Amino acid sequence: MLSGEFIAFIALALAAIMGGVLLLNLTKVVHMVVAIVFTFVSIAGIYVLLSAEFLAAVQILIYSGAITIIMLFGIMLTKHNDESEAKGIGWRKVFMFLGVLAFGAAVYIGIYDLDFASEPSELHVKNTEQIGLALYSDYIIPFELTSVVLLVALVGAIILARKDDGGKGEDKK
Amino acid sequence: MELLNLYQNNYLIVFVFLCLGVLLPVVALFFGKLLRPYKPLESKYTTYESGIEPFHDSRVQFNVRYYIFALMFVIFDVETVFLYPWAVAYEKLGIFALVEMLIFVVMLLIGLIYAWKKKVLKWI
Amino acid sequence: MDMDKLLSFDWGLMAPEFLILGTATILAVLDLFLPKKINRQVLGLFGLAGIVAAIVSLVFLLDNETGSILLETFRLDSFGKAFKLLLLTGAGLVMLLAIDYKPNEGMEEYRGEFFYLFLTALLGAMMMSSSGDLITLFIGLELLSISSYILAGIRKKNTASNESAMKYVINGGISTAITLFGMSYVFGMTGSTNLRQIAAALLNVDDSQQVYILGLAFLMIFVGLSFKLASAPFHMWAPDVYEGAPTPVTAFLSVVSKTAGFVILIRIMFTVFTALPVDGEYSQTFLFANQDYIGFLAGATMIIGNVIALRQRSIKRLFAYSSIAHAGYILVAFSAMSFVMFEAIWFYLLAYLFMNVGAFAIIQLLTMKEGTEDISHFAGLYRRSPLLAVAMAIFLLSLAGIPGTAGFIGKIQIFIGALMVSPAHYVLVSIMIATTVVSYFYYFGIMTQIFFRPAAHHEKIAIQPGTAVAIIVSAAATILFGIMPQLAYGFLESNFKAFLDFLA
Repeated sequence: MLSGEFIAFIALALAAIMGGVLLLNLTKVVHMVVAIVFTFVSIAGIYVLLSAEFLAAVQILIYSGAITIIMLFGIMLTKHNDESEAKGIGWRKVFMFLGVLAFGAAVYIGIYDLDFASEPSELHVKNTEQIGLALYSDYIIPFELTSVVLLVALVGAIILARKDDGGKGEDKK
Repeated sequence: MELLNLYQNNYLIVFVFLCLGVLLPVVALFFGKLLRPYKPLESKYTTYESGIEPFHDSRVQFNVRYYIFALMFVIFDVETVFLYPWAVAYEKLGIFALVEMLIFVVMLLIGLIYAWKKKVLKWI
Repeated sequence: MDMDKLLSFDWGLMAPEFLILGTATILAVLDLFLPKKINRQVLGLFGLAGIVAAIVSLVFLLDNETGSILLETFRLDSFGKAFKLLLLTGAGLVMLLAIDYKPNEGMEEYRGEFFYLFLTALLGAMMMSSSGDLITLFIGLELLSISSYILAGIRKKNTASNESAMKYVINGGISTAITLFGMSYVFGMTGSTNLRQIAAALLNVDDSQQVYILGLAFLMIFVGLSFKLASAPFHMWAPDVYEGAPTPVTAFLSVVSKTAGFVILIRIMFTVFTALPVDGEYSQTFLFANQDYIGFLAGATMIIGNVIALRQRSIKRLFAYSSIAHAGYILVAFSAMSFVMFEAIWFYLLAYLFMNVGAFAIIQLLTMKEGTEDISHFAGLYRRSPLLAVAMAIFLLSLAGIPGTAGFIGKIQIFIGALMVSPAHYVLVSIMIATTVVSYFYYFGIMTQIFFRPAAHHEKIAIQPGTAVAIIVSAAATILFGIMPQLAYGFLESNFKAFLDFLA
């Protein structure tokens, strides 16, 4: 059956995969970041197809927005004109490719004629509110734990990325 | 309830805008290429430095200070994401949701104070 | 849902977690506002006090019935209590080492952070041990991981430390992604993140196609979690990270983090995959049908760990491979799935905790004094400090599994467990015996250095109080549980009732 939903899914999935492949094969780091943005945006589109509207917005906000910015900053901090050297095809690459292929085949065998009894869902009705209700009434403990994770991440980011004053002696030279 | 396909069709407008957004720069650049004269010169490719002879690459390495700002931006961005469904569902949740969010925000406030005390918020 | 319902939960069950969280938060604030001249070791003592308080509150909770809060996102059963006790004890001992650790190479400014990051990591591990929900389990795992990444790289001016943090982050990220991918299939199949609801939903699965996908999920979760255990196929990070991280962090990774890894592995595997029937038959469940794969990984882990350890010159790398090997031994107990499995794993982790922390305490003393980590610095330790030498000998004998030590009892338990099931796992047991013999070479190699090689110099070794306490406690416990293991087993028997409430 060729429905609009199906076409949209194929297009988005292809864009996502293409972004991933380009990310691996491009040689300039900035181009790689652009490629991964394609993947992020397509995944947001797939979320919309799955009626996960809020998640799609979050995907755009955090991944295509913040994470991409952070990667660009990372590039600007380092040698941004660097190009990855194109290495020849070694045995290692062949084995890796075969491994990926085998895994892909294994998953494909699993899902290609998988049939679930589909139940009508109302996920798209007030999606954000549903998430809010579940998160702030049933999943309080993981939610509060997330704040600790974020705190640790913030402290860790500062510890590792901060330029120390050098402490004793070093900057007095 | 709204019908599912009706809901999805609403996204067609988003799709149209997405296409327009992609097309606009592509078309503009393409026509620009068509219309502009093409006369390459060696000196055109050099970096403009107010008349002074350029001596190295125009792009320089950023200060690591910027990176901490980017990292903190991501973390507070994630926090905002948590605030959003909270605000939407707040009416139905009751007073305990306020307490929860207060704890959450206080934890991140400690992080902010940490950044402040460690002087990473200072702009040189 | 309203305030009254929220308050009706027995929040007292979470007392140990609240204590650790509170201590960590207070430490974070204190560290910011205390004047610079105050020695940050005080903060370490405060953290230690928090851990001790958490242990005490957990002991008070031991008699409590199995209870849960909010759809089992927190669940305190005997399994959780027993393993949380291990985590807290391990973290307490590591904290003692951390207090005495002399900061160097860019770590001086981050003494306070060093202590409370241990606590947040511990909090993550504790949440992993007492939750019946995939979401909480995963967030606990992340909290533990992120804290450990930072701890590994906290010596900012040491390139080995930087490298170790980098490798740890990248490997950890990959393994987390794999685990999460597996979990997403389980969630997709069952529509729930609650472990017991998942198990209930899986009981009715009879479509072989669905069993196949759950098999993939099983594989991915197992492979992803093997990162935390430092077992094959995700063991490669261990030597580099152990070598580069500060010694207390290495001790923490090898003891607390590994215990937490086994806890989450058992929790997910035994609730989710024992419920799944194979080919629609109820005589055999999925997990038991796949014992062989786990057994294979266990065997590979033991062989890799023990054989590569033979060639190591750096003491911390050697202990990294040794810890990989020990993960393999525990996986043998896991893959045998006898009815004494919980006891065997618990006891082995208990023994491993004491012997490993004790050994790392002595390693820390020596490496801090000498500045390098070469094995040759153990030469003549007996002449320089006989007591230390004897203590190290106890730990090494226990790690090797010599009778009279806790390590021996732990290994015997695993043997018995693997042989008592039918069909018995003769191959695994023989690999285990063979690799144990291999391990004698490197453990006794260190012993020869200590007792028979002449020392380069005869400088006395000053032992700081915290490290001394850690060594004494570990040595005493190693011997005590080696001679009277019934103490530990009696404790298990009387308090945890054979972990019957694990699935209930």
